[in-house]
Amino acid sequence: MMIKIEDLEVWYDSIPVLRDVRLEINRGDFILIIGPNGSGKTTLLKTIANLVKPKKGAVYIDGKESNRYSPRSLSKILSYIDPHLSREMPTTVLELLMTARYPREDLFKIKVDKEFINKINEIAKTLRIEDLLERRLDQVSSGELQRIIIARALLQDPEIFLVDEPTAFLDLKYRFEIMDLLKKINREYMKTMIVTTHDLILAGLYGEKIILLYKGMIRAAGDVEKVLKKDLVKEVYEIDVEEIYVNNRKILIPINMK
Amino acid sequence: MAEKIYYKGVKRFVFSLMILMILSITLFISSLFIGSSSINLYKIIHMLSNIFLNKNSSYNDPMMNILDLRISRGIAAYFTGSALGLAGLLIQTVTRNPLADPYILGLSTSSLAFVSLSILLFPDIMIFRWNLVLIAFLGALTGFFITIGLSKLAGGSSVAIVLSGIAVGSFFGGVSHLLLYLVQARYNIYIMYLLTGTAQTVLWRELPYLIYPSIAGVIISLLIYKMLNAYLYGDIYSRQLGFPPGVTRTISLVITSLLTAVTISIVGIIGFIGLASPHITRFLVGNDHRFTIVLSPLVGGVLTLFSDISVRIISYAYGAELPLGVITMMIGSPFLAFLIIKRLRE
Repeated sequence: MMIKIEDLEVWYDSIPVLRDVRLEINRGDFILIIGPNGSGKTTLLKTIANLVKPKKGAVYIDGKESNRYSPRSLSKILSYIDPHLSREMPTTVLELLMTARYPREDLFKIKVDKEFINKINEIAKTLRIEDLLERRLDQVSSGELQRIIIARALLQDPEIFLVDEPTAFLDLKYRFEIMDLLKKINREYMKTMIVTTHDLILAGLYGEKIILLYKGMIRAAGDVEKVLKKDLVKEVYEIDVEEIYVNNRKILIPINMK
Repeated sequence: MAEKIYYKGVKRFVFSLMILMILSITLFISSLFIGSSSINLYKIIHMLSNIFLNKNSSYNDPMMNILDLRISRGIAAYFTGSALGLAGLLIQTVTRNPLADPYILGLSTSSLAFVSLSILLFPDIMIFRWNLVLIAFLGALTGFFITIGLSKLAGGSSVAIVLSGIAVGSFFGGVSHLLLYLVQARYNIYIMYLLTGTAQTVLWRELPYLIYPSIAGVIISLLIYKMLNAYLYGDIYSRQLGFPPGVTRTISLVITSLLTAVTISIVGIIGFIGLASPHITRFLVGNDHRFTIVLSPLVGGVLTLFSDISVRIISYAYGAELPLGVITMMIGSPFLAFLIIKRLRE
């Protein structure tokens, strides 16, 4: 599954959110999207997932425009994963996980496959949520919710994971845990992974290809050395940073305001 | 682990289904005995066998007429409850608000206001029941959209929806009262009972208006149960799974309004059944629509038939007919209060 974005322009009402975005993403890529608030990270993910309509340009998935896929067939290819689920109605974690297979099932099928339930078991164990299955969804912690949501995406089993802010609201340990997990899914199952994050330190530690968005445009794209540059980050984030190297990886440490 | 929880859910569903069936049948049979004149068991069996064996020999028996009325009243009460049980479940899902109910959100009274106005303008419409149902349907939709519009202005929280619904509901309640009063003064038709619904007046030939839409509603809802389950987690989530949330909303809203409309045009306003039934159902089997769509109508039917039997007992004791809506309101409002407290505390 290859994604090609051509000349993309997205507006919300009368405000341009993305402009001149051109991008090619190959199967099995691990891509981090960084950028300050309002730079268009979430919008870019949502446009790829066809949840937002571009004003100009298009997203091609395997050579076919994404809005030409039926909603159902698109949901077999990609999954937009964000923790902002509506949790107003009381449901359990298992009830949420059971919805994951809907894109691959007949709409009217009532019975649940044994094989799917085994799959839930297996993935719940890997993500250490097996004790949460009976818990109400509005009674789990942020870290647990992130794991639940990633488990759900794994059950949906798309080719492309579009993961929005998986490390927000998590403490340090869980940030590493979630990033390790995403990387593992990327490596072991050859899934294309596109992840947005605010965390520059994580970007340095986990980055392979990084895209820096600024004011709706791609300001820089490439490997860690190319994107995580002192001057660039200063300009975009309006903060001072210090470069350090840990295990041969470049990490930017925010110091103070410019 | 997962299979254990899943099969536990299925078992709870089957168990609840059986209990509710047994309750339904028991309540229905006992409802035949309860009323202002007593009929003994032997007589009832005898008459029932006559009905089912199509022997018309005892049709002149006055007891036969009484039994006839009791059967239609029992069925009317039960299916009114079923219609409201399903309508309540769907409207809670559509608004993603556990406090929603066709009465609380103002659909019932707006529907009744439309019905009253059309009777005042064209009294003949009483004969063409489907037209009346259609008008009631448009009224219910109108009430829903005004409530939702108002609640959006008030911030859109779940309590804002309830408060807007109370404003809209009270307004249309007042309008209905006035219009029904005018109808009564002008044409000398007594239909004020629609304000606090009653199953007492329902005739055999009116039962299909309650039965068919309820059954159709259950079947159609079951066909979209996956869309409803996905819808619970938000519009983006639903679209992400390939189900356009607008379609889910439209279908559920049409069913909800239609079911509200039939209850309004046949028995009148029965409040809170639509609130209580989905909650009791979720307590029994969780929030999977595959189960709740089947059970919520049964819970609603049982609740309403039980309320109607209570009404009959009270009416029998005091000699004057008490409306059914009064009882459901008395049972339902503390339930609402409890839910609001629970919600605001969280």
